[in-house]
Order: sequence, then structure tokens, then C-alpha cells
Amino acid sequence: MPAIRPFALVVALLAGTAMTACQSQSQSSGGQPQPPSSPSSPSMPSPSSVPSVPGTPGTPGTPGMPAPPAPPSTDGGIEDATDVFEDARNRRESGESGDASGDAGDRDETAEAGAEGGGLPGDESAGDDDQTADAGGPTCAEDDPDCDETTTGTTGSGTPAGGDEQVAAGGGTPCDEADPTCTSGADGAFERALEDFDGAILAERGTIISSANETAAGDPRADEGRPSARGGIPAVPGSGNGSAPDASGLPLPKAPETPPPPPPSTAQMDIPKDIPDARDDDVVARQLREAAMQETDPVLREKLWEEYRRYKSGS
Amino acid sequence: MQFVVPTRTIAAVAVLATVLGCGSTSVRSVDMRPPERATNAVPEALLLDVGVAIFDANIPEDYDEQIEGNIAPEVRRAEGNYIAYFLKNVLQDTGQWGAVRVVPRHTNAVDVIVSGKIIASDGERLQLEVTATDATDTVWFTKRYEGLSSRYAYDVSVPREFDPFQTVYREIADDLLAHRKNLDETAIGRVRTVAEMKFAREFAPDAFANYVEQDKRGQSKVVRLPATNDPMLARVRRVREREYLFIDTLDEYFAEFHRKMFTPYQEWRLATYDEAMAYRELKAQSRARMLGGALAIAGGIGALTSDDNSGMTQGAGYVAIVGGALAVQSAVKKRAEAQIHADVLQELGVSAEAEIAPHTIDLENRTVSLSGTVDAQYDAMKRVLRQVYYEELGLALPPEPALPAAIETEPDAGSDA
Repeated sequence: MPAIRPFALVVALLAGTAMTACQSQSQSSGGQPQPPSSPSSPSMPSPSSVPSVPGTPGTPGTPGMPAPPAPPSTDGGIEDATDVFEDARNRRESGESGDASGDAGDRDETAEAGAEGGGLPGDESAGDDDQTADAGGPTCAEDDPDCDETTTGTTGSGTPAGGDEQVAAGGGTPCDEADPTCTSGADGAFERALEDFDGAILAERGTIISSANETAAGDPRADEGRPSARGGIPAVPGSGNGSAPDASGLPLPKAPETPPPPPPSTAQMDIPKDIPDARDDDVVARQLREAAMQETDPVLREKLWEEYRRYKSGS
Repeated sequence: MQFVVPTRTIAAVAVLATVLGCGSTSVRSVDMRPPERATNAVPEALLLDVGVAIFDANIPEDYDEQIEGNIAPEVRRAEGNYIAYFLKNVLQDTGQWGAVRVVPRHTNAVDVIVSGKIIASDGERLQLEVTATDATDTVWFTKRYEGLSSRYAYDVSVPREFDPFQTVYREIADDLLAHRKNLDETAIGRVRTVAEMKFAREFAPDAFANYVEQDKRGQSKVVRLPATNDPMLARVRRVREREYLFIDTLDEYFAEFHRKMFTPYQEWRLATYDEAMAYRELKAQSRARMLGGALAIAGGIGALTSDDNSGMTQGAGYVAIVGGALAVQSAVKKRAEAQIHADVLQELGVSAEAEIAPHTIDLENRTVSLSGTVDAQYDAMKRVLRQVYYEELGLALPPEPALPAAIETEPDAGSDA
């Protein structure tokens, strides 16, 4: 029995080491932002991935998408941590049970990439499609609701799914701007800002629609004073002539062109036969007519018609 | 040398001046002709988006001036919104433009801005001063428009889509179209490009600050263009789509405002039609009779004091003096009658204000509220765009531009150093 104790200790140590190793690997795949594993010219961003400098009609960015930068490192990489990246990193860290040593190692690699070339580490992933396809799983925790694991990323246009390789900092490989699920780094913040805006506008439009419906139900003449009604609320964002609708589209409610007219009440149909056409009615006569038509009490209704006849005969 | 004035001339002038106090008649008609509409679809390359700014209510601060001008401030304020919205609809219906919207504030999302000021407005007369400017800061025109309505324009048989001052809106629309037709496709494209670059500069100044410049004449022009697939430009365009959405939402506010305020506003215009016309006629008659009476009296005195002692001259002098005095007396009466109508107009204005003001306040509150929300969102987008821009360049994010330093106040003379 005493001989079993050291053996048990060894087994426990081995098991703990193995677990630690596994955790560090899972961290590298879905935890801390990592530089790309591809060693290809970290100091020389591939030409196709250089973001277009304004004014130079040349080399565009990775199909429209630059790579997010590396996270801050102690070795003098990108030192200025923006609030966006801090928030992104904090979210990921909250989802981890992480290994600090593994993180430090990742940061060091990131620091190398950032320090050597000044280029964005993620640019390599854009230039190496194959590696990107195999490389780097999502840089966010799997249970993170913002984490997108469904993009293909074969051309750097999305976050590659799965994989154990390290990926660029800032939330994965560059994803397509048009991809509504792109949530990496500052682009993710930009998407969220747009979503917040859309939410505010949609909420306001919902209020407008409900208000318009209430007005139409309460006042049959509510829509008469609206000349050349354009109708409803457009379902596409904006109506600028030079721009196409957003690729992601906005789930705008499809409002009816005009508020539906209220169902005619029974009283409106009971117009005495001797009442002439309303074409010659002036303001007072029209008001009397409408009051009589909308009156539900038959006695009052008849009195209103009588008043209408008296007024018309007098005028 | 003695200056001799023919006495018969004097007498003739005196009689004529007395006759000047007579009224005149005018004929008005209801002109419901629409503005020039596009018979075929206008090519997309020739379409310009138009923003119609809320018209300046032009309300004098002095209360006496408001009374003198028969201005009901709340009605005038509502008219600034109403006129802008109605003009928007008229322009939209022509089919000659892209998106036409009411823009409560300046925006670079549109290509042409139509702004204006209300000079005078009541049921009988509408006077506007309208200015059209495009994105290159070129003023298309600044022009005054005046319309006189007919009583029949307020008849219930007239469709509500037609305003009693339809002529004014038609002329504005036709003038805008005439200027646009003078622009070729290249010029129109230039306007649209400048508008887009200005918008891009507004939201991403670090990226697009040097793309648009203003020349010595104050006109904007594009000096460089980004790549068509520039990612920053793509992002700015997405933001611009949101600006369109915001403007469209505001347009719904104005539509609802128009629905609610149309009836009381139309009734006010109908009620003020007779009163305003009578007021102006009486004032004109009062002025004419006062002037005629003064001339007649002067002529009569001149005839009586002339060297010509003939009976005709003396008689004409007496007639002129008596006639002039009667004309002056009539002028005073006319002025008093005009004041009665002015009082009625003021009462009508107060009554209309009570009905219209709540709708105007509601519109303004909702507009300001939504604009505030949108501005906060835009500020966040601008910050993020700035971060993205420097991130793409691989540069450190520079600090935000510092606010102007506060003015340091000198220490008091008696304070200790």
C-alpha cells in the first residue's frame, strides 16, 4: 500500500499536466487573441492585405477588410490598447479558465509579429488562405454569444471555425465587412454601433406605426389632409440615390401603405333619403352631416338631421 | 422770375387726386396646374437627392411688430414646418428628383438643400423667399415668390392635395428643375460626389479630411478620391444609409404633423382670407385717400392764392379743398375700419394658436429627441471609425483633439498672490 502512494502522486501529476496542456491548447484556439501561426514574413504584410491608404487607388485591403491588430504586449508591440480591444479581451477572459503562462506565450508571439514588421499580424492570414483555413479557430470563447464560429474564412473574409492554431489578435481573422456576423475587434464595435442605431430607429418606427393606426381608427378623416401620400415606411434602409441597400438589410417592419379605414358603423349608413348630396355643403353643413352620421343615439341623430335640413333650407 | 403754375392744371390734378381714393377691383382664379413632371423615368445618374429645410418663421421679436404684421407666432412656426413638408411632396411628385425629404437640420446626406423664409402669410397671401444650394455650395438661386389665393381655393370641392397657394409651390419646383436641367451628367455627378465626400469627412475626418476643399469663391470641390473598394468608404456609406433612415423617420413625423394640423390651419386660413383682404384693402384705401386729400387741399389752396381770380379757378379751389378734406376724413374712417379687421385677425390667430401649437410642440419634441439619440449614436460611430482607421494603418491611435482652452481670468486686484 505505501508503494501505491508515490505512484498515485505521479499519476496525479501527470494527469494535472495533461489537463493543463489541454487547457492551454483550448485557450490558444478559443481564448486569448493570438497571432497567426503562419511564420510567413511577419514583418512584411502580404500586398493583398495592405489596407488601402486613402487617396491611393491601389492595393485594397483584404477583400475590403484589414486585419485587426495584435493585442498589447510587454515587448513593445502595439502598446496602445484601445477601449475596444480591452473590452473584447475582457469578455474573452471572463469566459476562460485560462492559463496565464499560455497567454503570456501567445502575447510574446504577438509581440514579435508586431515588433518586427509593424504590419498587422492578421495580414498574414489573409495572404495565406490555406493556412488560414486550417489555422486558428475562433479567438473568442465558444460560450461567448458574440463569438462567431460559422464563417468560412477561406479568403480571410470570415473567422475560421474550429482549429487549434493561433489567430490574429482583436478577435480572429479579418471578416468581411458585409458579413453581418463579423464581430471582430473594432469592426465588431462598429457593427454593434450600427445595430444600436438600427434598434433605436426601429423602435421609433414601431411607435410611429402604432400611433398612425390609432389615429386612423379614431378619426376617419385622419388621412385626408395628407397630400400625395407617399405611403407607409419604406422597408429598405434609406432612399439615397447613389447607394445600395445595406447587404445585411434591416429587418424593418413592413408598414401598410395607408392606414386601413375604419369599418363603417351602422349609423353612417342610415342617411335619410331626403338628404341631398354633400357636394354643396359648406363647413357648417358638413360638420352637421358628419355629426349626424356618427351619432349612435337615434333620437339625437334625427335631431341632427333635422338641424341639417333647417340649415340647408335657410342657406 | 415768377414761377407760374397753370391753374387749370392744378384744378385737374386736385380732382384727379380726389378720384384716386376710389377702390379698384381685381380678379383671382384658382390655379391648380401641377409643376412640370417627368414623363419618363429620369436616369439614375441624373437624380439628385433634395433636402427641404424647415422654413424660417421670420417672427419679429418686437410684439408691436407682430401685431402690425398680423403675425400669430405659433401659427407662423407651424407654417414653417407645413410649407417645408408640402413643398417636399410637390417636388417628390414631379419625379424629377431622387429622394426628397424634410431635413430639420443640415445634413450632407442630400445633394441639394432648399431653404426659405416666410415673408408674409395669411389666408389671402403667401410670400416666401427661397434659396437653393447644392453640395458644392453653389447657390442655384435666391428668389421671392408671392401668391394670392382665391376664395374658391378654400371650397370643399377642391382636393386637399392642392394648396390655395399651389402656384407658389409650382413655381419653386419649376425653377429648381430649370436649374437642374442646366447641369449635365458630369456636373450632377460632381455634386453627388462632393456630397458623399463631405459626409465621409464629417464621420471620418482623419481619413477623408483632405478630399474636399473650398476654393476662393467658397465653393467645394473634390481634390482626390478614395478607391472604390476603400473599406473606410464602405463603412461611411453604411453610416450614410442610417442617415437616410433617420431622415425617413423624421419624414413620418412631419407627415403625422401635417395630418393633425391641417384642419385647424385650413380653417384659420379660410377665416383670415376675408379679414386679411379687407384689412389690406382698407389700409390701401386709407393711404390713397389720405394722399389724395392732401394733394387736393394743397391744390385748392394753390388755386385760391393764385393770381388768377376767375370764377372757375376760385370755384375749383374751393371744391378741391372741400373734396380734400372729405377725403382725409374718409381716410381716417377707413383706417379705423382696418383696425377692426386687424383685431379680428389677431383673435383668429390666438384661437388657431391654441389648436395648432400642441402639434408643433409635439413635432419639435419628437424631432429633438430622436436627433439627440441619433447624435449620440453618431458620436460613438465616429470614435469607432477613427479607431478602425488607425488600426488599418497600423498606427497608434492619437489622442482626441483637445477642446479649446478655457479663458483664464485675471486674479482680482485685491486677492493675495
